[in-house]
Amino acid sequence: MSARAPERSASDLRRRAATIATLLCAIVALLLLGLPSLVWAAQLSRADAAMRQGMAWPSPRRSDSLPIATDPAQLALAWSALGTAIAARPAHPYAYRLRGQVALASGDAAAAARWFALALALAPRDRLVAWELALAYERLGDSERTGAAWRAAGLTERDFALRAAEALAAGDEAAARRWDDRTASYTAYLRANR
Amino acid sequence: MFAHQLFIAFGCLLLTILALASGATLATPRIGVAVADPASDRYLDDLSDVERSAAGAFRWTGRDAAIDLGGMQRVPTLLTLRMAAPRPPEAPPADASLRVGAWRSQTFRIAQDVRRYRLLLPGSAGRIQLVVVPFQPGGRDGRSLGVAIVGLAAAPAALTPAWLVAPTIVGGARLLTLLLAPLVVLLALHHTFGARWLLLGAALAAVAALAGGVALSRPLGTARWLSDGWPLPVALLLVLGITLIGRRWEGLGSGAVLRPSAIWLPAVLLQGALLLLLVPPWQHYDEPAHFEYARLIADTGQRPAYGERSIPLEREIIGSMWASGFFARGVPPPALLSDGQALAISGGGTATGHPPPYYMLASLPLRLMRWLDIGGQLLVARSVSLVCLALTALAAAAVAADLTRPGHPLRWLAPLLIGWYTSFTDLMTAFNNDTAAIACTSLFFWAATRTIVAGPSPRRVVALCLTAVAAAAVKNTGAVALLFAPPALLVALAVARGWRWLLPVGAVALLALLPAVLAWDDADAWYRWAWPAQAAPTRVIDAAAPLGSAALRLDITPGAAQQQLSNPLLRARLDVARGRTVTVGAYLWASRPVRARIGVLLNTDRYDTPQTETVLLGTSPTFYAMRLKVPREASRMQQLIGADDATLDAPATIFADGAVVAVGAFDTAQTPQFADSSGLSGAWGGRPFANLLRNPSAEAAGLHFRSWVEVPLGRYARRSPSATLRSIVDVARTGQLTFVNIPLDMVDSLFSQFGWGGSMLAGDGWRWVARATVLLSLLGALWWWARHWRSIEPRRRAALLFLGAAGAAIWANAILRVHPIIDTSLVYSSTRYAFPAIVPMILVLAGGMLALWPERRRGYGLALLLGGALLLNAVALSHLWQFYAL
Repeated sequence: MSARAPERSASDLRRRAATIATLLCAIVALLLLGLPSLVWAAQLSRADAAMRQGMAWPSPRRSDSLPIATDPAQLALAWSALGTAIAARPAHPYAYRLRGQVALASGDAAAAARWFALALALAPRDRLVAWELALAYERLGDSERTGAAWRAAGLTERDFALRAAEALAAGDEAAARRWDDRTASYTAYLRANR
Repeated sequence: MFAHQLFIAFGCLLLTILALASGATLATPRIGVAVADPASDRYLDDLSDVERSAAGAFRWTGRDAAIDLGGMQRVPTLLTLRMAAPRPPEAPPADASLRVGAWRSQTFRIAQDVRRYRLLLPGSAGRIQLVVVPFQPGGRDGRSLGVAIVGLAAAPAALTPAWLVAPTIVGGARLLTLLLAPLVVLLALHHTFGARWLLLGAALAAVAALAGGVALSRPLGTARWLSDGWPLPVALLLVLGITLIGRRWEGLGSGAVLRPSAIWLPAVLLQGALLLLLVPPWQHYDEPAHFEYARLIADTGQRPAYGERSIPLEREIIGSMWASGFFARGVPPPALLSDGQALAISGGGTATGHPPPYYMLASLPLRLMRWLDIGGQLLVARSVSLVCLALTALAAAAVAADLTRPGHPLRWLAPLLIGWYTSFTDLMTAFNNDTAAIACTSLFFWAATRTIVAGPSPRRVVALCLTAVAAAAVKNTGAVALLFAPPALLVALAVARGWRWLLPVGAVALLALLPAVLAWDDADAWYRWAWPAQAAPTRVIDAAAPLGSAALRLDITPGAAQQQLSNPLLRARLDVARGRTVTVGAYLWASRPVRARIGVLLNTDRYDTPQTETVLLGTSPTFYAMRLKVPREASRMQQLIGADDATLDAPATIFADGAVVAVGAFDTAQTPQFADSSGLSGAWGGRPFANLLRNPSAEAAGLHFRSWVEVPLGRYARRSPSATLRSIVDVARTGQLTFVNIPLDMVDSLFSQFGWGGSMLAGDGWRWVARATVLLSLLGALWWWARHWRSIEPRRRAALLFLGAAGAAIWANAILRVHPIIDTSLVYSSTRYAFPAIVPMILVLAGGMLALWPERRRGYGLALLLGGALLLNAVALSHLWQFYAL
């Protein structure tokens, strides 16, 4: 019995080494597979922190509120981190959408529209992204594309009318006028693009 | 032996093929349906409700109108649509076309009047989209409408050989299922019971083969109830394999084959992770509202006030709901642009009324992951529930280990079946505080079992108390744990120390406590609604009462909601009033002049309508009355007497007596003359009347909770305990629901409820599977108990009895949760409220099923139980996959 003990311990050792090697390989494979997601997550986290410092939303934040830049340096940092995130997971729409928001805050509505359009192409059912795209086009004064984005957001003139009524009920006449203008603009767009 | 088996299998296969071939030859699938027929919903999607015109009933097509011929579209089909396009002259012409996959018909114009349109469709597996140039009717009707469909008919075109039509309609997966089922039946019986049962096995296989033939002769029906996914035939093949190697499984019973956790832990985690990813975001009960609650805590670090909202967060959630296809199934979407109530998620409901511990726990990872998109954050939150699932399975394994000898299969079978129980796992991967209540209650069962079996020690008692408090603290469904903690301690002490007197003393103490909790001076048959609850009884002895000595009492305070009392009519009495005019009235007065409402609440299957009149009450009794017509479709009616909440500026008390609901149009200016103080009959304007109300003069008293219980318990349970108690003891009104309908409904949906409670395994077949499983398990468990209870070690016997009693109490709580059934005629039961009892449930299900088998054949029973569970799991996952694949 005792003569066999070293043999058994050697075989045990081999088995353990094989188990550890298999586990290590599995961990490395998982890490490699998940690496793009990890990079994406890390960069999004960086971008989020920078965006919190670099831009602000009006309070209270309404459906047509636009972000305002408070620290351009932080926005540049966010922009760069989002670029890396997009490179890591090019098929995920979220980083594109955030870039659109950063561009809007920086006052570059044309870039914002481009990034929102890319996000919408990756998530065509996301009506909130379509609405944000419309806000960017509206900022650019492109009524034709604004109308198309409203349509992509599944909006009807009644949505604008409801919003105008809400603004009026809250005593915000300027906002009510803005929504009424949108209603008129959308009606014209729909008539022209039946 | 092998040749013999092969011969039997071959014979069975041949018989099945013959039966299927006969069925295929006899099949003559046809569809013919008018849109007024509810069956038309099977075939038509995105259509309006039925409308009627001189031409008959019709339904408008919407933007996403589609036709699903239930599989018939797989063969070339002649489709006939009876439709019209009545449009105003300024509207665009109704040009229509059909699309199936890449195929598109020519555009054709629909006429103003009803005509038949016949089209030959190519064979294709997809849905048939009906594309129509829309128009808006104008005026107040803002809908975008297509054409008005009156009826639909379809039959296979003569382009496919007749014998091939039915197999093509049902598809390959279903055909393989029908082919394999008889073989599985035969081999399972043959291999399990040996050659002596061959005749029975052959007979059952022949029945299964013939049933397959009949199923194929009705291919459209078969396509409705049988899953189209490949998991089902694959699972049948697995069952076949398990059956064939069944004898080897007997070794598992010895416990030497595998360490228990090596079996169940990966299976539970895998299943949980699968469901976590398979079910799209927001597709669980009120998930948006629960998530908002946790995010509000993560954002502010504080518990939100009741009803608190974050508009930008809700807009993000709604955007994510759109992106994940949540509204693609006809769920009305909130207004995305609104900054007010119209944006509301979860139908305007809020989760902020729930206790915060679960949400505080979930807010911790959310604080770290706020940079994720909202769908990703939901996954993080759902992972907290996945931990709850693992804890529940762990508790089941631990309870089974305490109750069984080492190596008993229940030690790994119980947690494994928890993992494979798809309805349960689906709930346990949702973001909902039900998951924490279930985990804490399961841990409580572990602590209680351990305390009873191993004896009370300081550590065990602390664990018992902590888990009980935690269960009750996360959700009111876990409160049963708190109620059962003292009995658990009593039982543990009684069996450990031999203090058998403790149990009768405990029972007597409980009985002695009842008068301190309950009182007998509410008005019988009258229901409380007020929120917060009224502390005083609803019946008062008042010298001013016009009838007898008692009157109704309603205390009203500014800021409270739904301050009213109601008296529901029994169904037989409502039948008398349906479609007729009734006169409703009562003597009313108040402690000071105040506005009050009197009338009725009418419930139909579609709406709940209060019909009341506001009156100014004085301080002396005055009779007020009104007349109304009861709709024929009314399913419930109750008299209402309440405060006008909006105008109330100071506390007051409203009194009522001599309430009446009488069939007929009586003179409301006159006061009825009641025959006696009960108020059940009399004369009104010289005409006799019979009062449809029970206890209209509040002379009869009934049970209620005393105020020290009513108010705090009402706040915790989020309903009036007295009204709930009244509804439960009102057996004449609710007995059928409480004792028959709700329990059966919960059993029926035991394995089939997913997501927001929708039944995805619908149909009579699944109902009977659930009923048979529950019945067989209960019979098996009772049979085992009757045979073995004397030989079970006393501590384990006590633990088993405790688990049974606590499990039954949780089920009773889940059944009674529908009470008080007064605010709507639709009664929703949900099996999820019984899931805190998952540990005793799974022990009964698994143990009961195994106990049905003779000792020496239990290995086969185990193999079949696992095969059945795997099969059910595969079917459920397949249905989930199909349902959510957009």
